[in-house]
Amino acid sequence: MIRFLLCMAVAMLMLGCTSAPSNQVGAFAQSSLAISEQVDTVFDEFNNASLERQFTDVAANYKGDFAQRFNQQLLAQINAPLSAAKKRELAIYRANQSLSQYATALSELSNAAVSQDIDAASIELYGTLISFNAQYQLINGSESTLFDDESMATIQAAISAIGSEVVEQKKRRALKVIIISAGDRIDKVCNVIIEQLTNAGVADGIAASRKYVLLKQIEEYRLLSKKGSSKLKARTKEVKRLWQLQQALINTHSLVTASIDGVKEIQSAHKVLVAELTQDRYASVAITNAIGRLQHINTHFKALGTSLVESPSE
Amino acid sequence: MAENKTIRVGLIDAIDQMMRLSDVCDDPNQKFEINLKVRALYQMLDRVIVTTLQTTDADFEQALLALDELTQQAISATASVTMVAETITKAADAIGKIEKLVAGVVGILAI
Repeated sequence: MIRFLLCMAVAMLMLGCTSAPSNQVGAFAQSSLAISEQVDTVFDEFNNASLERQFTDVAANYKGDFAQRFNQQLLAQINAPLSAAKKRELAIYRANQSLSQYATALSELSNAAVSQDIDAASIELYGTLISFNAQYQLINGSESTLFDDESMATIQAAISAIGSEVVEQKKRRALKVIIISAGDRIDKVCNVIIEQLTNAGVADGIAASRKYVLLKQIEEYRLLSKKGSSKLKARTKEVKRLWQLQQALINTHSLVTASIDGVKEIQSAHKVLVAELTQDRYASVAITNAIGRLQHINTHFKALGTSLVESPSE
Repeated sequence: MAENKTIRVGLIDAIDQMMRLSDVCDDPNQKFEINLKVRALYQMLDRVIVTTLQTTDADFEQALLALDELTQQAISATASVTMVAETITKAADAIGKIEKLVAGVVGILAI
């Protein structure tokens, strides 16, 4: 019995050792995916803040003598500035989609347990690299690509050659080929996202909309407070709500800054991964540290929480 | 995209001054008109943020100039309410110029 338990323990240890490298890549992929999803929320918030401003605008202006002018046409004019179709045209959206698809495919490959799954995940991952090319051409409006035909053929050949090795070895080889090949391209895709987030002024747009809503609600509070009948408790509650709106306004830029930091961290962690895999190191302190930094950024995003992503409601 | 930043900052400044003007304006009709212009300026801001503008266009310079004039006019009108009507006209002019600027742009947020 003792011998059996010892054998089991050794087997478990061996299993742990062989699966750990892929798990590290998987952890990188998962953290990258979470950050990539956060980048999308910046644009969702741009829409939300704009819509909230438009609702407030109509409600604030069509009152008293002007109430009769409120009609269906007015409601029809209220629109989110970024429709789903328009969003798909954004360079940042396209770049972020590429990054997210790459992270998802990487995660699938690192979790693949049997040979056929590895083949399927490798092909999918190869597909995301092809999609990098298409997106990059669209973003730049030129024929230049991230991968030339020759390098694509080399990657494809390397993946095909992985063949029928034992599962973990096969997985390692596939991860190595693809991650190293994607190195510079991930860097460029991340640069597109960083540049757009830095320069597009989305944070300014969100802040401007939030400021409008806050100012209109302060105006309304003044009217409420003028009434002799208003209770201190109700006024205090309202002041607290306005203060939360003010905090959300002050912290608007943090949401975008955190997104930029997150993408920079993906860039840096991927470089670490490439460097380590080039040396055939599938698990190392450097990779662990890089993943740790990614996870820290994710925690920071969560800490930013709803106070930044959503304005407090009444 | 520094070009967008300039128009963006111009719009934000103009909106701020127009809202101050709305605050001090006693005439309900004029106040309503100012608020409609603030709405239109915000709509332009939403559009400018997701658009890459060409600085080489003469339209770009004119829009920038019109925004600056609007901001200055709104500051003056805040001190002297007799200038409100003129400010509303200037706002319409600036909005028209930005609309012209963003209307034909293709390739949203493309680098």
